[in-house]
Amino acid sequence: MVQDAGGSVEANEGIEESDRTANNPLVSMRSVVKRFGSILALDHVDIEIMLGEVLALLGENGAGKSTLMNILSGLYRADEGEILFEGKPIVVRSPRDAIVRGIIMVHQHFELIQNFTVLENIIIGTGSNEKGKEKSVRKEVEKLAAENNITLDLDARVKGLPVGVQQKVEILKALYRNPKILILDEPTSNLTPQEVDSMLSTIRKLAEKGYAVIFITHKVREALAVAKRITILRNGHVMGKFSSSEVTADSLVEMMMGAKPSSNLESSSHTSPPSAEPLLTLSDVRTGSSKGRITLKDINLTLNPGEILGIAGVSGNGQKELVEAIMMLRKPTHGSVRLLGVDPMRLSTKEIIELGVSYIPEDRLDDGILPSMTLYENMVLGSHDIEPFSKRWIMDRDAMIETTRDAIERYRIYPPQSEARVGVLSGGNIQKLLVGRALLSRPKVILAHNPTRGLDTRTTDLVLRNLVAQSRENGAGVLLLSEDLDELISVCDRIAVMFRGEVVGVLDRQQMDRYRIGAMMAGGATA
Amino acid sequence: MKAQQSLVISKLLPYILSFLGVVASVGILLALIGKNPFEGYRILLSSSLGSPGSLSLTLLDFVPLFLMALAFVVPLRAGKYNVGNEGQFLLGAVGAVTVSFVLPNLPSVIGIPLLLVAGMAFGSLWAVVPAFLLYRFRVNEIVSTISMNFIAYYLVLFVTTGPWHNPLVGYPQTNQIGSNYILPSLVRTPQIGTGLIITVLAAAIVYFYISKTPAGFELRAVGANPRASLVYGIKSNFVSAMSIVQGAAIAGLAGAIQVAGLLFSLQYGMQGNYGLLSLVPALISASSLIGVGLISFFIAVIDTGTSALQGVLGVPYEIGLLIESLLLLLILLAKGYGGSNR
Repeated sequence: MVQDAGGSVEANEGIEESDRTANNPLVSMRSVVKRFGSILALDHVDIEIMLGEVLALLGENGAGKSTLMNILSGLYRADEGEILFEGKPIVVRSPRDAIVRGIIMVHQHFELIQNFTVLENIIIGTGSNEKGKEKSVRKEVEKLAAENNITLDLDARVKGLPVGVQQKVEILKALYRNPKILILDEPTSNLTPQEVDSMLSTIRKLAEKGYAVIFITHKVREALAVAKRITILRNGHVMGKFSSSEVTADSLVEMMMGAKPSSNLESSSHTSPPSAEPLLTLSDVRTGSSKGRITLKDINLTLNPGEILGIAGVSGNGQKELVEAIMMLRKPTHGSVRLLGVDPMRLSTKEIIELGVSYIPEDRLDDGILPSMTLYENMVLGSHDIEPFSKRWIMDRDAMIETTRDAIERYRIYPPQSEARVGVLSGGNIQKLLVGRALLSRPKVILAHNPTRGLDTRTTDLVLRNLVAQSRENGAGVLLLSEDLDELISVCDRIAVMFRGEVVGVLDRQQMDRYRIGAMMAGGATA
Repeated sequence: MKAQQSLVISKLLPYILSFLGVVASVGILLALIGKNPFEGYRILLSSSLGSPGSLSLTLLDFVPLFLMALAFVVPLRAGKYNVGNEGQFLLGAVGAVTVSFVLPNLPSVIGIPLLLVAGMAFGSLWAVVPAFLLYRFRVNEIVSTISMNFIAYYLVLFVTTGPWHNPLVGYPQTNQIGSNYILPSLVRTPQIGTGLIITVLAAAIVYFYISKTPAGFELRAVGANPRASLVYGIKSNFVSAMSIVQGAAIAGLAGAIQVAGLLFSLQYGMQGNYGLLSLVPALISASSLIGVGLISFFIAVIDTGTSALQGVLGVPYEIGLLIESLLLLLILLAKGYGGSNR
């Protein structure tokens, strides 16, 4: 039940006065319920937001953090519950209703116009780009940036700016709209550790300046580092509210996940016989240029049996091109490749798959699925024409469904129906499907590009465990490309760092240091 | 159970309404030109479904329509629009008469299968050009297959006025094919022929191919997402180019059946409106071949009925076309409405 603002103003007039006093929340969300179809996304959630402090909303993917904030910022409407602004109930029907009260959300996916300059992006839609106002507007933006310790080149085109910088443009753009409450949805994803530190310090300063900042995150460490108060969400419920000084990281993780985090994956480190022939060798591999794509420059890499080789790098530094070159989806123009004892240069992608290479593509919608086809048809894509799924030119539906049922059970794919169309699956469930498909047969080489993106902690753990098992027990070589440094450090035997199409260094376990890798990812250092 | 029933009703309702819309507008049209609408309805139905004879006329119309729709559906499942099925149909007819004139004395047991195969081969060959252009140079298949249609019209004109021209008719038309090449009838008068059986058989093979074989899987996979298909080892460009050639074989078969089962000669303009009409069942019901068959039959009923209206009531030819067009628009409207409701 969302109350009507007009009717309730009078009734609450008494409260208004007392709410002006310090320590009362600027915004309270009370008993908020949100359903998507039959799924209860938020179940009577209460939160309080104060001026001048950072509130961390901590939870796993799908816990309801973004849904809750989308309600506050007017993108969704609550099914039940109320929002009190300065003690008075308000109705937020649209983002405009939120913006006029100073509630601004910076979304996880950037909404910047790539061909515009930083300044143009900041002032867009505010009417500040009228003739004659340029100078004063520029001064205003510069002042705002300086006040908040944000350094930006206002005349740089957004296209080509590092992700961390783009995130700051988004924040400055939000600040220019004169907010009281700034909602940041996972602002540190895709950032190098150095960029993360800088982002966290920016966030802290925003709170010191008097803004109310809501920091949506699933990273406990960052929540503890920046927030004064932490509210934990799990499955649409508030699991607890804490002052960051009174909790430990371990207890937060436990509340977030509902169970003790599984034991460390690192323990099972790899010792491969040094004599074994590598499964994959790339020597001086280059690729030709094509629009919008990075060209690989003299890549040298080897992948040994039983080894997990990580590829670290900020997204878009040649990782996709690298796996596509191995899959012969993007033929190298120079250099040589040796894959499972053969020269794959003249092989088709199909023949490479048949050699025993499986691929989890990064772009799951474009490269991964057949949206209008069923789960079981998607599950067999790539092995659809071989046994057991095809016998004598006829496909065996029962065999496909049986295999799919196993994967559904193992990876907890929802909806659990083999006949469901894949187009209706959520991103996380599509990811589970891709992982299940890649590990269907016993692959000898696994190219896994962001295989855990969008998965909850438990499934992430399951996927990583499966990858580790494939390498340790079956001797498969795993090329794990990931933007999550913690994930790479926890499972990889070696990590190669890519920057602008080059491998700028390969680190073994003793050399793995977050900041060192971060510096290499930013192009600042070599191994 | 109840929910399921109401779902079926809500899905069918737009179609029922659009059908009633057609009936009403036919009545209004007839009334406007001074004819009795109810007399019109009676003639429309009795001349298409009312007797074994009229049903056979409808089925004769249904055979090429359904095959042409299949010729469009197969490439459509791979995401390609084979608007050239008309030209491929004509080439199939050219192939059929060619066999009958070049090898006039073959016994039927060999001759008729050969004629049908020639029809499919000629139809397919006609599609090789657009398929190659698509595969090699990514030339849009809609443009290239339409262009091939125009060449086909003139090729038919050339053949029907050339050495095989029948001098007894004042129209571009070849001599009759030998009786050894004529498809046997199951029922003698009126003809309900082997053509219908071949058509049903062809539809069954297409169904089996699309839904049970790995090649059909690849066809659908490419239609669903060519990029993902490529990533998982399917040669997407080849599959989509080949789908046009496969569809063309069916169109060619339709042309050959039309020659051997109904017209007994190659005639200029024999493609009628089959090309355009076939798009409707294919586009409405691409995912279900049974649906394609039902809608093709429905269109055949209207097509046959409206041409009888011309004969009996003296309704102008254009009114018949108008009714067919209205029907198509309303069916598409119903589909759009049903689609947005799902």
